Amino acid sequence: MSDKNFDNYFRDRLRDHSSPVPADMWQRIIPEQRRRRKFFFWIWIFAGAILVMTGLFVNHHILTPDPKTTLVPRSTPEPKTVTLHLPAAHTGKSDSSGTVPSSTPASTTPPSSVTKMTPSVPTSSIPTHHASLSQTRFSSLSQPRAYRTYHASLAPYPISRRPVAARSLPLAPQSPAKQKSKKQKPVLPKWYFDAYFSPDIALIDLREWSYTTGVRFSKQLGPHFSAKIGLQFSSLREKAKLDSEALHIRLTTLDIPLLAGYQTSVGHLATTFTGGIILNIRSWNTLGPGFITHDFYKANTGLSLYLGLNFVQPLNKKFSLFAEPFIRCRLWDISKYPNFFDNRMNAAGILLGLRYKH
Amino acid sequence: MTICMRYAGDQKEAEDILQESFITIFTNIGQFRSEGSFEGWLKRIVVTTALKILQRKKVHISAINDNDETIPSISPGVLDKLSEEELLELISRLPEGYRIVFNLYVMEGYDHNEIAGMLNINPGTSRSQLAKARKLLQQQINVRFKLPNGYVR
Repeated sequence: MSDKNFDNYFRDRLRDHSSPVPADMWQRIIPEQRRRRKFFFWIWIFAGAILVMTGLFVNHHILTPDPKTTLVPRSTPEPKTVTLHLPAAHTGKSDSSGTVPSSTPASTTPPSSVTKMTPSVPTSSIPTHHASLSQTRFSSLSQPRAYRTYHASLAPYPISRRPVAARSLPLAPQSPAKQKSKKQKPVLPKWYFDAYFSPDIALIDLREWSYTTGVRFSKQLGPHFSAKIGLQFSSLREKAKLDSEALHIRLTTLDIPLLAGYQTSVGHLATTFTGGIILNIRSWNTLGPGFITHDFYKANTGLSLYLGLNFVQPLNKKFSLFAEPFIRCRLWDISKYPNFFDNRMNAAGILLGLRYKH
Repeated sequence: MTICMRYAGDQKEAEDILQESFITIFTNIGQFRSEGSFEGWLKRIVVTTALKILQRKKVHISAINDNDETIPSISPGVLDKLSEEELLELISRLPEGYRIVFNLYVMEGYDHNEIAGMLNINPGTSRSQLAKARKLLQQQINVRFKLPNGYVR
């Protein structure tokens, strides 16, 4: 019998053959399915807790501001009260010589006959230069403007025809209480540029180290929100064992992260929650040593979900250092035969980088 | 269950493969696309699950030097005397590496290049494993029918 006939015989006899299934198989399947769902749920909870704890640790131990460098506001001067004095009212008789009295320099003290004006004077009722004017509260305005003197501290203010009430003019800065009530809006950068490097680990295998490096451009869209786009290169490694031989799997990817950020503050520190997708442009994989490199993985591994928490430490006005622990999960399997090996090579790490602000 | 028994070495291992397969099926039932038959999709899942479980056992598949003596061929009439359960038993008695390659090539219809990719071996290794599996099966069948009362040593 030839090999082909031998194979065909086995195939034909066993293809449609059915063997009995154990009676308790159904009872064994359902509890196992529920147990696995709970397991993956707690994995995500654990990963989120690690992320938050890392952020709090970095904030408390590394990035807490030095109290010695805290700025103390200067004491504000007491508000000064300035009284506006104008020359006394004219008796109504004009000067026969027709000369105009010389103007009094603004730096001199006002004459003793200076009277205080009241505020209730309409502009239209200002009298003209005429002898018939009686001594009224408006008559001081009949004199040429040169006679009008005013206190030196009022020089910056424009002189109007409307008499100014002799009242206190607050010129000093606002009291500290009023200053505190006003919220000073921070000046946000329009955009900033990040360059980073990250030591990573594959979540399925913690024995091999991996890395990511890249650049990112961020645009501020408001006081809290920002949009980010970048380009990054990742090399993720796993170690598997086939009998006594070690199998090293390396997945190299070129990706475009498309992320959004929400900035808030945790204690004294500005923190940004960063999330979005990572779009894979191209993937390469190697299997070795001792094995033929086979085209087993996809050339494009599709989309990944990204979640990170960003902490920034300014160096000067333009440059800052930042740290961003993250987790990245692929949406699809990376192998061409997903039913054989469910492998997504999800990863976690911490971006460490330099930021330039504009 | 027949597929599980072809890949497994014993009844317990076959039941483990079946249990894992059903869990995978129920978990990924939403991914089934109506492009092919549902039976074919189920069959692929069972086969891949069996390979996963055997991989966990670190099955070593390596190239072999086939210097064994030639085995007398079997006449078709002899095979007709064997039941399906006996054929399954013969396959389950094969060493794991031979059994996997025999099932993937003969029963599932993969070629040696595809088998090499799935198992991370050389295509030549796949061919030698298959040849050895055939010879062992023929040996077992010859031994079975030479012994009195049909008992296998």
